[in-house]
Amino acid sequence: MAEPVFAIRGLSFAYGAQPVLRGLDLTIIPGRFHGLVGPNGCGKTTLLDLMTGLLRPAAGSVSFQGRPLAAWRAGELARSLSLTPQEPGLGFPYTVRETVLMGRHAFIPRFSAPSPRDEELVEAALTRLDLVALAHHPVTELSGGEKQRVILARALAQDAPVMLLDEPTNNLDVRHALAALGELERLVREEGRTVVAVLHDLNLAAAFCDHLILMDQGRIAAFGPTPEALCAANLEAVFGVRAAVRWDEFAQGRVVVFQKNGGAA
Amino acid sequence: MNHHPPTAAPDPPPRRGLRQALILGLLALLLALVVVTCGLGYIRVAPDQVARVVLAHLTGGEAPVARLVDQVVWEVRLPRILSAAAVGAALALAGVVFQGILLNPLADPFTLGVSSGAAFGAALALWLGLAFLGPYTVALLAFLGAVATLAAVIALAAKDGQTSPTSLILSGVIVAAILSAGISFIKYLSGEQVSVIIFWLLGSLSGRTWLEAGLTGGAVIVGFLVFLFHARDLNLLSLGPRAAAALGVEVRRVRLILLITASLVSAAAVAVAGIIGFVGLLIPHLMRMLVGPDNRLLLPAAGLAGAMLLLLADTLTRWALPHEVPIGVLTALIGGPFFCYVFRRKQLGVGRG
Repeated sequence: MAEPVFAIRGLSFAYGAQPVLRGLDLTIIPGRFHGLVGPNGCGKTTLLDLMTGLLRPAAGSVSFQGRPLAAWRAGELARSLSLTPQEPGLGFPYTVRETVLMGRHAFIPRFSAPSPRDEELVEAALTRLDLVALAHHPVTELSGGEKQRVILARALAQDAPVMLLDEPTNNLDVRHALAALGELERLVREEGRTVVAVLHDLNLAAAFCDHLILMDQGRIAAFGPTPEALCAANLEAVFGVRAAVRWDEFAQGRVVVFQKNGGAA
Repeated sequence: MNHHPPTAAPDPPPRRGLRQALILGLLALLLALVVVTCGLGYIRVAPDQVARVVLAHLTGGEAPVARLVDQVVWEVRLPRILSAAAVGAALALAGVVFQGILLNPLADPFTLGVSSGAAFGAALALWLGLAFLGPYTVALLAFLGAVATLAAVIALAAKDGQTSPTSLILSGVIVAAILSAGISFIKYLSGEQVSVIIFWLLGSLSGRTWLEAGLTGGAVIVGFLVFLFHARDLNLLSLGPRAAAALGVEVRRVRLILLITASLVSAAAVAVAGIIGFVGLLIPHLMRMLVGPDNRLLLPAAGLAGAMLLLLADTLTRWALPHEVPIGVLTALIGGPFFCYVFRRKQLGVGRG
């Protein structure tokens, strides 16, 4: 078994008196596409914030590539680990290209111009996310889905071997959502990268993730290969809805369907 | 929702050389303005004579002009003019930095209560008649008031050693409200001295000395270097702390350094000139529209533009108007409506940004 990229032990965190994570254990093995799913408020974003070191654990530990997270400097960590946040945070009128180039921040020495390699990665990211025509537009004038593509492109330009994404398909139309997740899948398959993506659309999770992490009330409720973890029993336990998971000929994969009044069951 | 034609004409980013030319152009304009305004006033002095006086003093020679002209230019006008430029640059630079850190384009050097703290310190000194440092006592107390206020605001906003933009702004508003009540109380208690306090609060640059010009100028230059060193980090901080940290910025450290430096720079400005509003709000906005949001270009452009604006405003009160209008009143009276115009244009979608 390869050395884990993340080893999380007994992780607890609270906002004031409100506990969010309660003794969570999780080991992430490299080269996999993980879907992180769970009900609103179960602690998914908090877990990502603890995995990037933005928050400090109240108890327990997070180590990244065999070293405690606290021992990583921000610049060094950004070369190995990227995070695409849920909120685009694009409040100042930088152009799309300038914003994507910010993904290279940790690679460009202070007062230096971007290297040809930096420029190349930025161009590739703009192309992959269908942003070439918008490259010189101010980000403040973009639609929600366009902004989302900008921050995804920024993460691609950052080119980190481990990528965390908080609801990467937010605001994306179905074509762009499939393209974005397809690009992440390609990076995992062809380049052996590790992805952990918070997803709310279980059908997208079923289609792209090889492993699923189901979270509930600050703990891991189930974790395993998608075909095993994605089952009606787990979905009912975690989300409290009645669901069925089926093989679909057209999708050439497993799909999840729900009962409209499933919550009442 | 915007619709962009796929062939939208890309407007290419300004090239490096173009940016440098812009900054050098602004610098040359500022120097020309200093020389010209130095000649304006009750005694008119031609620009070449001003240049000769300055050159003579810098090289230790004798200026080939009348003694009175030499005195007016070197002892009276130049310190005041350089103080005005330094104060304008300080307020504009601090405005750029506060807007970036607080993720709020409406933030200015006074959002965190720095001005109220300075005003409280100055009002205290004037009321109690403190004079242990001679004429500089008021400035010192204003500076101390600003620094103490900043410390209180950061302490109030901090949670687990972190400060969020929202909590900083809220803390600033709370502390400023308390200090305003304190200032009102001091005014109420101070009887006949109340006019001195009011005059100070309205802001003025008249009678500023070389010492004051040097102190503010020094603070601006040091502050500018600190800001420029962190300009790229400040660009990323505008994405919010979560994104900035994930892209490799030491968010806590950088934000604290910038917050303290920007507050000290604005405190130095307020201590010398009193409360001068709108420069720190207007100039960053205007320059962001002209040169874009990249702080590596915006900081020098805003600093120079702020210097020019306050220099022009001060010249207006000193020379063009029949009575000397307090400069804080003038900047608000001109800046306010102008800001309305700029804001409205932006609302209607004219121009960039």
